[in-house]
Amino acid sequence: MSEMTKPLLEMKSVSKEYNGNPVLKDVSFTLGQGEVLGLVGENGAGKSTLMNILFGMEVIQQTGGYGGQVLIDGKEVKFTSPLDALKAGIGMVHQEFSLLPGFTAAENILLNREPENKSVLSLVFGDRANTIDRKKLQKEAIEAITKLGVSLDPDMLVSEMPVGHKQFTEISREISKSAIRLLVLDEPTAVLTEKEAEMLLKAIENLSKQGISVIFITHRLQEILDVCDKVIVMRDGRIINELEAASTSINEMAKLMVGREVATSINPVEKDRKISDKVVLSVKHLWVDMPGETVKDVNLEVHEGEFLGIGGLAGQGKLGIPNGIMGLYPAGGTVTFSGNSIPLNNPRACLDSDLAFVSEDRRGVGLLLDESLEWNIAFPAMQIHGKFLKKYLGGLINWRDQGAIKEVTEKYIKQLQIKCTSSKQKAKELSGGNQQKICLAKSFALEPKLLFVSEPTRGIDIGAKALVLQALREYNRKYGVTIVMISSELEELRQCCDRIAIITDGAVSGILPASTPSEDFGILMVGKTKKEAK
Amino acid sequence: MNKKMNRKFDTKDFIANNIVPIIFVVLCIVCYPIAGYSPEYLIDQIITRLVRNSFLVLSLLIPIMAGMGLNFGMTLGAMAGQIGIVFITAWNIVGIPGLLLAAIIATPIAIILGWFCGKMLNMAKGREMITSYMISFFMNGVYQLVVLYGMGPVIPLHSDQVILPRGYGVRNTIDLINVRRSIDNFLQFNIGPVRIPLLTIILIALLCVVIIWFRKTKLGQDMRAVGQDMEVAREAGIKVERTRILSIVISTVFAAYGMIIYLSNMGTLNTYNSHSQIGMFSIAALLVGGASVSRASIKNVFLGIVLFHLMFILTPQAGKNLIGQAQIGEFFRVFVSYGVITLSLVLYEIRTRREKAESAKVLANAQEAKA
Amino acid sequence: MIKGKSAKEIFDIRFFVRLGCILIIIALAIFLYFYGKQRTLYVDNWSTEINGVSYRYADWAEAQVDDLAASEYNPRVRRGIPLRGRTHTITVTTEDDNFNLIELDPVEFRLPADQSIISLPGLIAGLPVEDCIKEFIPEVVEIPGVSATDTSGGEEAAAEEDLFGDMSMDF
Repeated sequence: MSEMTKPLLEMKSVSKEYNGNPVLKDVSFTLGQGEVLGLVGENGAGKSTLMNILFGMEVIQQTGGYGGQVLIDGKEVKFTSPLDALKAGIGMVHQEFSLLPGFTAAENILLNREPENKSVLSLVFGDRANTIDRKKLQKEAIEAITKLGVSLDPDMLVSEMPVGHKQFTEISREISKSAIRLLVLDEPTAVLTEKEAEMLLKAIENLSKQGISVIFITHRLQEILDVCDKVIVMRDGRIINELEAASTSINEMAKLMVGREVATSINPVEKDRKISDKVVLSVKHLWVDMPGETVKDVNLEVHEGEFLGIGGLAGQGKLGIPNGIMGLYPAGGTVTFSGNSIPLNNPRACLDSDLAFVSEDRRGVGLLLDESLEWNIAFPAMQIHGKFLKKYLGGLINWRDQGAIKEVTEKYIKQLQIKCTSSKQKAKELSGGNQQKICLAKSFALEPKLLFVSEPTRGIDIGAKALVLQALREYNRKYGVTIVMISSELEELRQCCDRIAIITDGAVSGILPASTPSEDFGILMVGKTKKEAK
Repeated sequence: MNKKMNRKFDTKDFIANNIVPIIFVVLCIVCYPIAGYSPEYLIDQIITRLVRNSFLVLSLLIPIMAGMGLNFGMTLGAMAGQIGIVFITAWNIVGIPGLLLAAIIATPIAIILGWFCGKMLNMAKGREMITSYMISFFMNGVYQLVVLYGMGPVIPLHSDQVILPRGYGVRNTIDLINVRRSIDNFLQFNIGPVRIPLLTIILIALLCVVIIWFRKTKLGQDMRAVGQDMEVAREAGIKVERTRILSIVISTVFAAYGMIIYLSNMGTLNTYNSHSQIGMFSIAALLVGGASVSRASIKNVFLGIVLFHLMFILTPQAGKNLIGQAQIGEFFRVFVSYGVITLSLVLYEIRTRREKAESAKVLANAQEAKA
Repeated sequence: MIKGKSAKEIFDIRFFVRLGCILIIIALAIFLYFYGKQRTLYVDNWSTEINGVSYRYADWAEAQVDDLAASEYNPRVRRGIPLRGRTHTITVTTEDDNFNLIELDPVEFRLPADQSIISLPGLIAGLPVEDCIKEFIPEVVEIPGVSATDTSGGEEAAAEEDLFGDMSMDF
């Protein structure tokens, strides 16, 4: 066997662009048999794109393929579908579970690969008339579970399992596939309790001993130190460094992850800015049940006129905060706004009390895509505050004031430099960046006292980003409106915010002034302080 | 507060989950003494109707397993069965061979109709029930066209018994004297005054066995998988669309056989409306048995038919004895069927939403415990 | 299902088994069609003329078709018997002028049409059964004032009116 000399997986200067935007640049690494490779990096660093290339996902071909080479056992491969990757012995466990709740662990592990009893009827009705060999199914499932080395009841229904067991089921399924040689785990511990995570790490060690290589993507750097042989740190589509896990530290990794040179396209925050001590919004023990962004226990105070940033890694719950406060997802806890407590789970009540929210889900919640810009900008203000309405007959009949609507729309188009043919254009005809600006304009038109802005720069290009941020900053500085901005991009937050709160595991792990070095934020993000405290 | 609720939850939950059967049981218990029927008569009637309808109701199980809800499209199968019956009556084929031949004729028609219906339902994922309901109305038009104008000139049938005297079109009512109760009378024996049609019971038992066996096959497993989560099943490599079509085809074919058994037991065929309400009544019967849009078992089928028909035997008589009007039973039949279906659909929605809210509750509890 | 497969893959064992099943079912259908078909045999005790020779009705006869109950035939009696399948036997018993019971040998015959008529006098006279049996075509007697086509109109109208009326039926 040549595996001793040739590495199991080798990537040679792999690169990838989406519509001219390079997302992966010259990525090269090797992975030997039985090795555990940690892959860390901020959101958008290119980890998922790299894995998509490895799996031959359709997205890659649809957007023009990739550059460079992927070699398995020293031979170049080009997978065109995930099935090819499976045949080559590569399995992946995704962040979202792909399990059937009404099936047992065993049934899920061998889903669509169930052992069958040959039956005569299959000659007439096809292979699917074969009955399933339950005993063998059980046996094979147990084999996979033992290989993984965890305790998992094969007869337990997935719907009744704790999250950790679901994760194990998912991994067992990959292992039960014959000829599995490389397993990719995408943030497997994100949803696990500490104990379950420990079990999983042990299982990874087990697999590595049996000669199965593992690529382990995680945000918990301690885990990398615990199980990995080496670590690859990615940032902006490049491999920043390849480290031996034995000789590195969390601090070093965190620094490498976030520590880029700050692009000073916008002036950094004025140092001498005075923020009033008056608390305008106070959040106590907030929990929000937003799928994938669960908030567990957030305590937060926002001062009047402040520009507060909320950062953190994806899935830790930062998006859940505004969505919960604005009543879009089931939530609990107490929220007080300028002295009045706000009823949760009631969007209208929030809007009535001069709160506004620019959603991260532009197309879903934010915009009326088939309507004109005027309508988009004026509609909420009209609906909620009765602006732009002419009153006749003592208020019995309300007439839209078309003139005022046009005027205000044109004002915002000018102010935010929205590229459009006229204020009558339909929202869906605009580019992503301009749509985002419409969302902002809409909220500005409400003239709120406090504005939540969620991921304002997601999916828009760099030029538009700067404009959007600029507009937000001005709005805050000039009109004294309190803004809470949620963003996954730390640099963005550091550019405009006064203070930045980092959310980890559904709770605030720390609030620091924006001028704090980014390494400190990086450490907060990976939740190290919490671990140390314990 | 939560702990207290948890204690009460079980009984409350049981009632909430079985509200329909419970209502029926209570109604039957109330009506029984008022109607004043002898138990022998009731048992005889129930067995007759159980035998008449269970095949039809059983045909609904498989689409529910595949997560496609209640197959209102079983009407299509009923149409296929009726066409088979029309043919054998016109050809004058009698007895069990006649019914067997009717089944053979109905099978390909049911397969084609079921395949068509399955295709349509695949285009309307998530709205299977309303779509299949509408398809059955639409196909009813096609059926009437075929039966009213096609039979005679296009499909050569020349039988005074079947074809209208004008030379084309099938009569409104066809007397099935030739096949009437031929399955039931074969191997029939009596226990006291109660008639037991052994062969029909064997057939129904056979279908139950087939359904149980089917659940154990690969296809059955695939259907359960597809029924739970189409995306997960697709990722695992299961052919989701094909599986869904197959479930409808199987259901339609069984419905066709069920219709043939039903008609042979009834002895008359109302060419233009036998099928149109059969779907409604079968579904109502299944739901009365405690099935839901997403879960149904053989147990539900039999319990449902017994309760549903007990109700319909008892209420007219009870109505007559109480206020001197037997029509109240007829009124009840339609009113109750639609009511039961509506109730079940609403309950299903409520239950799904409640389950979704449950996770939020768990989170809240955890929160409270922490605070 | 067949797309993208070579001929060898299509014509495998499964294909032939399926083909066989379909053929068996078709054969069964054809068999059932003939076996299950109900035909009516009219047993007739009228004077008749076969091949130019006249035969007088029997004064008394008893005929039994297959295992069905035997029935007596007085002069000028005709009875329809529903029969399944094509080939049947008939056993005729009659008496001569001296009231001696004569039992004729059972005769096997095939029904020539859906409605056939068999003549007892012919059988009693010892003619071959093929000559005694023929298709039964009922004579249409025109009664003045009653048109044969007249009756259809009323029923048709009734039928179509009924189509959407009574939707509640016994379930």
